[in-house]
Amino acid sequence: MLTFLKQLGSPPVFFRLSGPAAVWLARAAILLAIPGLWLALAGTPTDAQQGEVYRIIYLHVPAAWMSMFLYSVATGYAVLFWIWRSPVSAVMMRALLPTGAWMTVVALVTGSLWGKPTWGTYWVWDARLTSELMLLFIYLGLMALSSLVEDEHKTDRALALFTVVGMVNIPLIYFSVVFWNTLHQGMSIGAPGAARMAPEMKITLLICTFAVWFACAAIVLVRGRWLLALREARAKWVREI
Amino acid sequence: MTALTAIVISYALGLFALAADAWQARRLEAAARALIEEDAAPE
Repeated sequence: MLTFLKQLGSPPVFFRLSGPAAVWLARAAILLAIPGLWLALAGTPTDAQQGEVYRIIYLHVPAAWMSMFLYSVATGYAVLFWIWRSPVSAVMMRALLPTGAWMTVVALVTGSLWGKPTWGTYWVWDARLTSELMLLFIYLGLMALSSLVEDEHKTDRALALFTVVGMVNIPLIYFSVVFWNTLHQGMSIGAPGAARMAPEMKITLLICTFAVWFACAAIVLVRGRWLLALREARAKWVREI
Repeated sequence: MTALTAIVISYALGLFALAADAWQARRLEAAARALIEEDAAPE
């Protein structure tokens, strides 16, 4: 297993494996998105309290989870970069940022659209919403930093350092509904005493989550492998593509 | 805003975000391929 992971750190091996992996992940995303969208928009029952508008949950929650998950993975690559200085870690750290930023935007906007009919307002400065907005600013800041200097080798270390520092916001987002009294509801899944979801709603949420997860993974892999090819443009393996 | 409008805008944004992100990644691929081919071309 460790040998396989070490091999993945080799640019030509990563480039060769990530292409087919991205294709299969994209196919899996489409296969899950078709039933997922149908179930989300029509197949699941109407919520007894919120009515139809609750259907935003099937996009809002996967996007919010993904915004935090992608940042955590970027932090993992940042740490790997500090340890091994691997070009694969450096490009994957960069490749995750735009997708994470998009997912944060989707989580914030869909949450806002859901908040108006249920809370009576599009926005409140409560801990969950504010920390998620901070995550968007962190993503945008890191993306700006990554494109600041044309020679990306120069910004790798700064980018890795700031990515790790920004990780402090992720547990703050996740546990904000536990640490503080927020208008945002508490955890729906996994936490003891969490509100119980109907099984068909929970399954639909999982299908939609995996669809978004696979789509994001496919996009990140495509971006990562070509960032790697650009970075290693003078290497022999790139000329053999 | 009605519930239907909120749902439509939400899902349209979700699909747009994924499509735009995928398009940006593919554009990077095209740029990288062009650059590699340019480098590989005989002087």
